[in-house]
Amino acid sequence: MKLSYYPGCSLKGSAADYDDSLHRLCAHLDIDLVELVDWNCCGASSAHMLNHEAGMRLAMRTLQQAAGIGHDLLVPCAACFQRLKAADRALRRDAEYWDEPDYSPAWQVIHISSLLAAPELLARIKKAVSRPLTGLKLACYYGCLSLRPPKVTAAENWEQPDTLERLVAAIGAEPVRWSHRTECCSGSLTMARPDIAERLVADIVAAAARAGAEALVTDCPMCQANVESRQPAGTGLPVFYSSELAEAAISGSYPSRQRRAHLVDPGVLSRLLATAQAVEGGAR
Amino acid sequence: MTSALQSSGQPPTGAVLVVGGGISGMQSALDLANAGIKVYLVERSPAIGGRMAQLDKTFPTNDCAMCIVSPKLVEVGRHANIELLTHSELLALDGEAGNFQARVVSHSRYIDIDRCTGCGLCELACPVSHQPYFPESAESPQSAQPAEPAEQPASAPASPAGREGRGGKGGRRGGGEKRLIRGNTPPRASGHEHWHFTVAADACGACGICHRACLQQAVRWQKGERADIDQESCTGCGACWVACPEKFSAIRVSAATEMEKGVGAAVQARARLLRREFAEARGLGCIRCGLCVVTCARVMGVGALRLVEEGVEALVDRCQVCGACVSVCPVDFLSLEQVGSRPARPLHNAFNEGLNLRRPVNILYPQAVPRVPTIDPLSCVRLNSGACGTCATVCGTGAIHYRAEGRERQIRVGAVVFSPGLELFDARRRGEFGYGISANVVTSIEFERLLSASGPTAGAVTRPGDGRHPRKIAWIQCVGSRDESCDRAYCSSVCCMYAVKEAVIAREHDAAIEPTIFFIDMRSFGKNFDSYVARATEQGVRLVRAMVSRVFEDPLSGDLELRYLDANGQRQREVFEMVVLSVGIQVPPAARALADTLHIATDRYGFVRTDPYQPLTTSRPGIFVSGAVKGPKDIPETVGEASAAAEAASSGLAAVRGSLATSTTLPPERPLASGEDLRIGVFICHCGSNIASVVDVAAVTEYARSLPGVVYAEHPLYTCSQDSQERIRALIGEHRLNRVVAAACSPRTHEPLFMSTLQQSGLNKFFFDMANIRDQCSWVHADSPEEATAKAKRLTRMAVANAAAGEALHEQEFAVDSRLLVIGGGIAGMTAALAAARQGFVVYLVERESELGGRLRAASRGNDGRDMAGYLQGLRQEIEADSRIRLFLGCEVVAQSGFVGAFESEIAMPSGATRTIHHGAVLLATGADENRPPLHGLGELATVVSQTDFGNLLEEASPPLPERPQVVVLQCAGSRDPDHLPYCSRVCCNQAVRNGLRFLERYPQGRLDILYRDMRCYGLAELDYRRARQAGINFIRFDPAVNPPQITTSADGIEVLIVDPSVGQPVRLLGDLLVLSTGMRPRQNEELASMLRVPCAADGFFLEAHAKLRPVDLPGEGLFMAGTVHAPKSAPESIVQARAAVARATTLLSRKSLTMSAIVSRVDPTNCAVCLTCVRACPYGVPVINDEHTAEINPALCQGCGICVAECPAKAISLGRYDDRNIEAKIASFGSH
Repeated sequence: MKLSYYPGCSLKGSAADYDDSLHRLCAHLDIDLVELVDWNCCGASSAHMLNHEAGMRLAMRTLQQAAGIGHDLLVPCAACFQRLKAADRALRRDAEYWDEPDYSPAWQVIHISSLLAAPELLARIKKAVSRPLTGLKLACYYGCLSLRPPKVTAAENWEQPDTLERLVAAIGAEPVRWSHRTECCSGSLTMARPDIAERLVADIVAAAARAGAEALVTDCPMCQANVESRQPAGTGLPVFYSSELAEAAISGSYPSRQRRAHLVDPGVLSRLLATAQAVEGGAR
Repeated sequence: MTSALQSSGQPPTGAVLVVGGGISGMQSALDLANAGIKVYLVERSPAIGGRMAQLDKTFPTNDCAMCIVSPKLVEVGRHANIELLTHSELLALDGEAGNFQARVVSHSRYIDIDRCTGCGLCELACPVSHQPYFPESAESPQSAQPAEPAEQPASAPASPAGREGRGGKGGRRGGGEKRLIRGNTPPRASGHEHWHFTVAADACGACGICHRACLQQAVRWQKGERADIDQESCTGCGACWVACPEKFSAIRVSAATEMEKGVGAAVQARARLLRREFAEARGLGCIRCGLCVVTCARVMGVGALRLVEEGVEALVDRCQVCGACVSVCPVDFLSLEQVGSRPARPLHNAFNEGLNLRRPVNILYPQAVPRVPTIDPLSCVRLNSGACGTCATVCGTGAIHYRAEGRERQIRVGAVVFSPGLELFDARRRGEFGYGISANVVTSIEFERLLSASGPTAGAVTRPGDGRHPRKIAWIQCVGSRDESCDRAYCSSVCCMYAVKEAVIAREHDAAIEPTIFFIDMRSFGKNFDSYVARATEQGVRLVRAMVSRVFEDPLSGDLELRYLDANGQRQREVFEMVVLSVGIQVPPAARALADTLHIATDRYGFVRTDPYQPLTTSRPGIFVSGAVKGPKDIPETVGEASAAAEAASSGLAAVRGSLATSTTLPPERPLASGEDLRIGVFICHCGSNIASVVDVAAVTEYARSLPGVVYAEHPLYTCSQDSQERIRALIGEHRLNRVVAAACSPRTHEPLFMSTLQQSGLNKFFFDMANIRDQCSWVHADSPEEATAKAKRLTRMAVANAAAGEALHEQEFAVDSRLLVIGGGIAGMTAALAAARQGFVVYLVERESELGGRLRAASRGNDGRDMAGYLQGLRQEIEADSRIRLFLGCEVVAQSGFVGAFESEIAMPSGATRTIHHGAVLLATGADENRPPLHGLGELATVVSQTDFGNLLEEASPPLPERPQVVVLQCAGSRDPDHLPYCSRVCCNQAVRNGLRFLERYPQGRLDILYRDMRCYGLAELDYRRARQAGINFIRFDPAVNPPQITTSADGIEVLIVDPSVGQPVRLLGDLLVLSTGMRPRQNEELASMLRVPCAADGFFLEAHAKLRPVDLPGEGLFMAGTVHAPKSAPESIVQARAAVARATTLLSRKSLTMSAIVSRVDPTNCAVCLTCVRACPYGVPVINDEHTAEINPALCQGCGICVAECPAKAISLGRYDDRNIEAKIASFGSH
């Protein structure tokens, strides 16, 4: 399987470990990631707030490149996904208006959650798991942008999603029942109003802990960074990327460079892997 | 409208097809059938009753829905002119108005509806509780059921515990995973009375398999020899029997109760015995009774279970997950997750909204009519794999036929009433509330079932998540209503009231409950609704005007945190223990599809389109519409509309009325032989759990048997159900009963039903008495069951004594005058007169004014913008052209006498002369007035006008307003105000919105502000409200107690100061015009009321006979009403009522004769002292002193109230069954113990 790949700025910077785990996971799953050669800013940071046209055009430029390749375009970052999806939707609805009359691609902009939760891929992941993360209680955390607004993201179940839960179950871990799965992580306020960010993150982390979770799992780089960095001292709930966990369950190892990327000690995963039993014949 | 019916050459068919057996369809059917039209009532589900049957209580009277609907269910079920086609669908309709050909399919129930007694044994015997996984070949033909994908992940929302984790997953694909199920204690033998197993020597194949299967070493066997069972050590588990290869079948069973019927029946019989024997051993460990293994192998034909040393061994992949083993286990040792590998698919009870389970064979609900089960072809094991068949073996009447097929038939009808009903919004679509994920978030209809005595919790309000009694309960309004995001922009009309009612009733069930209702606008717009809401708040129901944004479930406690913005714009969090989502009403997809098939035009939501002034007529001539499929509405409106649709449907069939009807013939009455011994039959009703949960009905029955004269007593679950009535009939014959007593609910609702059963059994109907052990006993003494039981015994005793003292009474028949008097010539009266004339009756239409048209003459435009004057002119011309209508303009009805079927009225003519007319019924349509309170200078200043004035102003050719007018509209001006009109006038909000939109049409530069308390744009009118907001009309909410507007008016203009809560700031509005929505006030109705001898309510409007089910009947026989004389309403609503009232009148006027009550006062002239006491005491003015100088009471006028009987000092007056003899018998009986 070949996919076009749009990392966006986060995965090249603050969330480089996400990019790393994703690449390794895709390698396990025989997914070829073809990074767009000359991708640019998706427009999520400031362009779409300040200048609608600029915000759209930035994303559209990237889409044009993807169109040249023709594979589905995988976007791991929720904000990038939302912007690219918005541009894609605008183009599909009225290509003429945007002076791109030929835009009617057969390929889709896909978010990592829908990729990994597709039945066929879940089956592949299940088969590939060598060390099921049995007993690891995880709070699946979606945040906002990969799902909302549903008119843009085309999410089917934007209030009660279950893609992460499906993935978590496939790698043998246990998703907990909790209700803050799509709450705002306050990513957009984290610099300007850390006081608000701390309150919102404390809420999320407390809810996850009350549900018995030992860690959170997300697929959004902003959520990951924000929930780890803004949680009250001593809470100690690490936030994993879905790709990070899946890769660990498949390879049975958790590289220390991944571990070091966390602001909250992710020891729960290394300890589990140290004791988890390999599934006979599970590894490829 | 009727021209289409009359155009075709052949005479129309005197029959009507009614689609849908809910309250709407039932009412239409009854009104049609009682007017001599043959009715085919087609209902999709296996029983009639519809949504109303699911409700607990009804607003605003808190009547029990089932109690008031069940007499209707029974009447429909028994009616000779109604052919009930349940479990049936209308497939196609050919032909045209007057002569339709309907193709109807009746799906197979697999039960012979004529043979079935509704005993329910089949349901009790069926062991299947879950949708089994049948082999592919068997399952594929019925793949209609969307089976859950087997690969459903253990996602957090769907399945909390992650069911895959259990028991390891290694062998899943191996096909042969064996799982051992152990208990907390080692298996022990199952007691003494067990089945006996022996080996038939001639059949034994000497294979030794039984020997190896036996865990007790009770089977002796040597290689090459035949087996033999040692009865001393045999525990009767049946392991040998199950193991014996089929080709030998050498093991024989004996001493097995019910085995002659079949293994399934025998298993159930033994399970019942063991359940009693091991009552304390539940859940501890296996008792090795072997029933699970026997059931799996010999009943289900699966063979996935085996007894082993440690417990039970399951072949989890062979298991079909049907739940039979679990349901027969007497000690609850097995659980379904243990025995099967595939996810269990519970069979949810749809009538209880999935709150509990049902069997593949089941009766829809306890009071169902017909009370006949259906077998679900998707889940029944017999119909899919060919195994089981237990239900047929236990059926005492041989009513079950697995090969029965549905049948299609052609039905000829003259018209169709389309009333397929409603479904509820799928609350999952508002994911933020967590319905379907958080167990303690329920929908309002589920909550109704939780409140219902016959619901899954027997009326206990408990949380589905953990069974705990919740204290704080929140209702969230407008879930799937007024919601553009879900394409449900309309208002569902009923949710505000049902939520308030549910909150009130919840507190009645459990006073610890603290209900809170989160709402946008409180739309309590109906008659007496506002006072109901006010009472609710006094009783502790908290109302919070806020839309809840999200519900968070606490994973540990299951409690729910709600977030919302309060009135001050502050974010609030509040924790509740249970959340009820007030889900909206929508058109079911099947109804939409059927509407398409029938070529009826619908709107984007699927609601049937009608012209507001032809509110019952669909786009296809001959098909009429009623109920929620035309737009959301409550029960009384639906009932009114159903009667109106019946009238509309029969309008073109008047000429053939009675042509297809069957007349009921009662068996001749059996005269009692002189000196015939008393033979009393007593029926003590459970009333579901209404009575039985408090009163020990078995004890009362036992007691009743000991009473003198009683030869038979029993305690049915519902004495009023159709099958019970059949049973009573049979018992009257069988035991030669000559008196019948029912200790049940209120004689007011149920006595006629029992009496007619007596009549059908050839017994005089007055040989019956009823003790009300529900309303007067179990309901009021719920906390004292012992005393309640004692009281129930005493009440029963008294009823028995009274029945013993009863004597045969006979009703008189009298002829019916088929003419109708319509009082009032407004839109309701005119519509009614025309409709009644079309039905073939002569109509006297009396109007006080010199012109027809009523209050609408003052309106320039109708609700849909039509020219009102033109519309009224059309009606006038039609009336004048109709020879059957005698018009009395400028006249008044000044006196009335007579009685139903034979009224006599005096009409004062404009000349001053009076004229006497005779008629069989009265239709009151005298209307209401616009309220014009002297508020803010209304009537004095040109700058202050009423909403009606404003509407007319907008139509004036030369606009009297400046080019950029600024108008402020004040809603509830003199309404919902204790100093003026205390009630809501229902129409003003819609009128304000319509006028506002019209204003912007005429003055695009104008500005309009509407100051309102609650915008009550109910139903589809919400779409106009939305349009008004989008058009730029500014809505400012006020609460007279919080931010009353300060209004200053002068001849030059107006000024309004108000704090606008949406911005939290005071605003100042300057305007050219102040428009007051002043509402409607009743006319001076007292004289009319006393003339007609019917009551007016305190607010001055006439009272209906029953707020829910008789909305156009006045509480006097033969008297009906329509329009605003009943309560404020719109013109289209008045039209519906007018036609409904004509339908009700037609049920009388179409008859040749009526029977008069037998319970009337009679004067014994020999004892009369002519003291005039009775003449003065009678509230109806009936007694007169005749020529022979004694008091005389006209039996046709006497209401049977008994006041004269009690007052007469000489005891010269007697009253049928309420004689001193009866009362004394009761009193004596009261004190006899």
